[in-house]
Amino acid sequence: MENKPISVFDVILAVGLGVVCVTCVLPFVHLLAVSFSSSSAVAAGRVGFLPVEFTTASYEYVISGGRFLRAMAISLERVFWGTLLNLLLMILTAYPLSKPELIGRKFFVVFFVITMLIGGGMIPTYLLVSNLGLKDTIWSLILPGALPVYNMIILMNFIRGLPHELEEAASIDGANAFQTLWMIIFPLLGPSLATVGLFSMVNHWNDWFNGLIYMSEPLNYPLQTYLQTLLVDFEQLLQSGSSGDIQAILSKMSARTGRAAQLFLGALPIMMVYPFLQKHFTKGLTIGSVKG
Amino acid sequence: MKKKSFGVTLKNQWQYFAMLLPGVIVTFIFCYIPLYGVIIAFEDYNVSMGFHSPWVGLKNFTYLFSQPTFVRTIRNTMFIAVWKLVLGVVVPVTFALLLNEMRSNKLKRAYQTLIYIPNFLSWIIMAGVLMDILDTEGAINLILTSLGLNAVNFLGSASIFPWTMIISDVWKGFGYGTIVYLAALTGIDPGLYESAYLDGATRWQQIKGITIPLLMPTIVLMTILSLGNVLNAGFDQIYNMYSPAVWETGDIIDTYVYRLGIVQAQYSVGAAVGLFKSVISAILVAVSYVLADKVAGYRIL
Amino acid sequence: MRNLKIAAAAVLCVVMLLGLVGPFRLVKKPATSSENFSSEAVEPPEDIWAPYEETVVITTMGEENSGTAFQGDDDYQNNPWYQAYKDRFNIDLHNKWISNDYGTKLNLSIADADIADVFYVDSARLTTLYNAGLIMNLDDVFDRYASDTLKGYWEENKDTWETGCFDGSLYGIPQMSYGIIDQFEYIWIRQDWMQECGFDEPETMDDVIEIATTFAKKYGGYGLAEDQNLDNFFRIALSWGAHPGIWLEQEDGTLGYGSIQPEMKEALAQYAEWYQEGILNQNFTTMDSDKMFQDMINGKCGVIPFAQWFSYNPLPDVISNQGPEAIFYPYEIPTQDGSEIKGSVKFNNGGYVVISNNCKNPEAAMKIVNFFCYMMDNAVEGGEETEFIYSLYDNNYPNIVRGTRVINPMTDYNQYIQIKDAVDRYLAGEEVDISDLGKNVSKFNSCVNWVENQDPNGIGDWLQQGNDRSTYGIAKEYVDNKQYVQDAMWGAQTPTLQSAGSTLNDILIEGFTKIIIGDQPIDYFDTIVEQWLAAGGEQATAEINETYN
Repeated sequence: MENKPISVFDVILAVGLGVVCVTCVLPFVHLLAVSFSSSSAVAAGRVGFLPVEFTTASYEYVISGGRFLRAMAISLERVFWGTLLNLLLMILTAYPLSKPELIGRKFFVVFFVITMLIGGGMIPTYLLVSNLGLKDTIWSLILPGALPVYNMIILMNFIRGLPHELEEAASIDGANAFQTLWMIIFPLLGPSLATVGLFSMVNHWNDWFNGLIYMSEPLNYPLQTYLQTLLVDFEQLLQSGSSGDIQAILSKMSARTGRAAQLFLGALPIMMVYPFLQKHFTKGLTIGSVKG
Repeated sequence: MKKKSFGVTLKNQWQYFAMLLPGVIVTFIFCYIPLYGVIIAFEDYNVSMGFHSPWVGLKNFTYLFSQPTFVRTIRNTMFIAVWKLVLGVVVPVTFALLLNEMRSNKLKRAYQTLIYIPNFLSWIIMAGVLMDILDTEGAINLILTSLGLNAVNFLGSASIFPWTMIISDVWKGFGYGTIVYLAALTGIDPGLYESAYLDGATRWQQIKGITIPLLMPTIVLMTILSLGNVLNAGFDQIYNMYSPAVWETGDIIDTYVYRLGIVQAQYSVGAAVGLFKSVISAILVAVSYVLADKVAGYRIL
Repeated sequence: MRNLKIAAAAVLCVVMLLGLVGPFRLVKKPATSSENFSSEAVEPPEDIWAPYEETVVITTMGEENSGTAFQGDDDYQNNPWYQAYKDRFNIDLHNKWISNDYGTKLNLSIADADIADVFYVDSARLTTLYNAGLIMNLDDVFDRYASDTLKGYWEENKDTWETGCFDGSLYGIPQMSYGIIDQFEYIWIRQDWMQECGFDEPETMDDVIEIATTFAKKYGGYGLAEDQNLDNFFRIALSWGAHPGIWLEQEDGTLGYGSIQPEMKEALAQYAEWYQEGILNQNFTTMDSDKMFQDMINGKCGVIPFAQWFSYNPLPDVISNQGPEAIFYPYEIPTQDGSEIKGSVKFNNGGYVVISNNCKNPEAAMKIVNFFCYMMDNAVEGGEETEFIYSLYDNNYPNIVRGTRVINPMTDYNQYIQIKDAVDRYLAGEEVDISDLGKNVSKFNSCVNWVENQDPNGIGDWLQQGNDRSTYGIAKEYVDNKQYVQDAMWGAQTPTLQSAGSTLNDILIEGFTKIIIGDQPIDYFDTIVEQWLAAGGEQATAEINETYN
């Protein structure tokens, strides 16, 4: 297969897909340019793909005050423990559910799937978290979504696609279910854990609303919550025509440049993780149903 | 479902249950206990009275459906959501197949990274960019007019607006689906292609005969899972891009309910809408699951 | 396998890193969040300005506003305001929580039955809390402990005070606003173009249109700016004597909604004609306000009906891009029959200060409110040091006490008189002692900054207050001559309006848009009105008449 000559088709393919890819990147480049441009140039719509009247004012505004780094640290902590717990619970749940011989399997599957379709809403969940004493702790951000059902089902389908022979051999050797899971199944899960792990990480990283309602103290906000608050107020600030030092910042930035800067600072860490995980995706992962 | 011939039987059951236990407990506590909150859909909820607010039966539902412009939002939601769903499968699958045909692994990997980038941009941000590009004097219309075509009012014309939403959403999200399908593709045994190649099968025949059938289970799984989400036609996207001139075709349930004032803490109407959407999606998921199982023979759950 | 090892190593590194910071220790529980923190009842001193003998602790809940530029180690708990409460009254004010989404967080706290001693609410939640019996009757504590300044606000604004009362008793102290002077509408016209074309101040709407069309012909672009929300149409409709968006008395004595009156139909017919003639921007239906402003900034439009804050946004951007001579000036909206224009004035109240039934020291809350009024109105006469006044007012620090302040509704009016006088003296070459200006000094400075340096950041204050033709200068006349129609709905929205959110107005905006762009004839107006009435407008009108007539 490797030795086939490069045909016209291959070139057209590479160029055609390349064009599509470029359309995906251009908005990002544009926003990067906006984040480094002066607000008056942005307001006039003069910014294309290069910064106009270069300034780092937007970044200074977002990072200033030292809260940015603290919020970032809280986010990292949350992503780390949150993803770890997600993965643990997903594996522990997906493995038994992938076994056709599990008694009451149908019941359990329905039990989990229902939660994807219906929820109790914000207030009862808040009261529950509050009564459990989790408010103002990182647990309030981690525990309520500890088992992401959607990703668990993807994982379950992946486990079902694994060859049975190894497991059977282990079983003959007298291994129990825990040992089989740990020694046989877990090492085979690399690529799929990378996939669902990425989805988990992105979810934990991007969630801002839970931080807003469960943290009493803005100092305890995770990064996305903090950035969100900067922008909401920023618009109030612009309309109120305020005075003093803020006007010095306002003169160089606006909601649009501020938002663009926020975006990069908020997305950068997660984007840096992505290429590392991507290696695993290409290693092959089969998910889907069992035919028959 | 054939019984396994050797000892993996009841002896493992208690261990399976032990594994399930943490997940079941967490799900029960954080997803099932709060479900009592659903009753506020049938109450005139008032924060200070909590869940013992006055019972009003179906009033919140009849109120919604009696609003003159609510019913059209259901129609709009279905139209936009169904097309997003269909194209949201077709486009990533096609793209994954095409990527898979590419020779250069480096290029393939680079492309795969690039198409995921729009996923990192929220709709608030992306909407601002698209409003500029799709403006009647924006970049795309400049290209169209320079090619001698008529300018298109992508955002201001009621007949075009839903398609602008569908296509831009599919464009923004297809990188995610492509990852999943490409992963499934790379899992296919290369030996199958080699023997097909030796048998003289063309590329297209290989795709039709090997790739698509092997990809089908993944497609079915992803489609059924996304059906649960079908009535969320994309609040963030549409809210940030629509205008009164296109409400006729572009106003969806979520944007309408938002303007109805759920922000001002009208939790009851919000809960009623939520319940309505839950019931519809539950039916859709159940029906599609049964269809996939009984008709096509795919068991995904 | 190698990859797994690398991954394991990476995980280990992160764990160690977190170990150094202390896992689960980054997020710290605030002391006030869980247990009941407030003091037991303490005997208050006789003089309302005197400190308590022993420290009194009361709690509040606050709104985060990143406009507040904290200096040094200041934060929502440690700042000059809270320090002043401690120093002057021996009161410890503690934040139960501070949230960016105050409304949601407050709802959750009410649902959790976990509210602070003193905080602010909107009118809907005021009713909720009153009905639930969670807040205190303030009649006695107001009578005994409110300062004369605060009682003066009450005397001057009894109709607003009424909105915080139930059965004649005060439950929520209205926080009011900086004044109705900021509510009026103007037509903004670009000056360099106006001079080049030799136009004088427009006397009639025809003059305005002539200016607009001449600009469009001469400089390209279009005449009159609008955006998708039709806000500018609603502004210019005042010319026809229409008062969209407010409730007002009709000929038969009942109250009706301004947006559906016959005057609106006339205005709409004319506006649609302007659109057909190309005077309005043809693609306004897809423009939000930022996009509309972009056309001013790029010199594509020189006439726009707009509110007073046009001089703050986008005018500085216009000047940065087009130069200082591209300044826009505000003009009165001319009426159709040449009579005096009447503005619309809405009920504008920042919220209500309420005190929890569980509060043991309600007079401490009153003292805090008194202190704000004192610093606002009497600080200079009271001999407070200029430094101290700045420390409370600079950097948007008044936002810190959003929940415990009451604003004098004459603030902006008085400020205008003071600033205009100081600017005039400055321009006449006289010495201006800025310590007399107290908290208003930054407004004065930015006016001077515009005059001396043409700094775009000074243009906002200059055209609001300093210039001879300023928005507040025009609006002061309106206020003095009572040249406005006041919204009959002076207080909370009625239940139907609350539950309809913006959907009632949306019916009008969607329909008006169709008429303006020519999708529907002008008589479609009557259909829209019918739809509006059927969707809840009729019920709302009945409720308004019952409550406010």
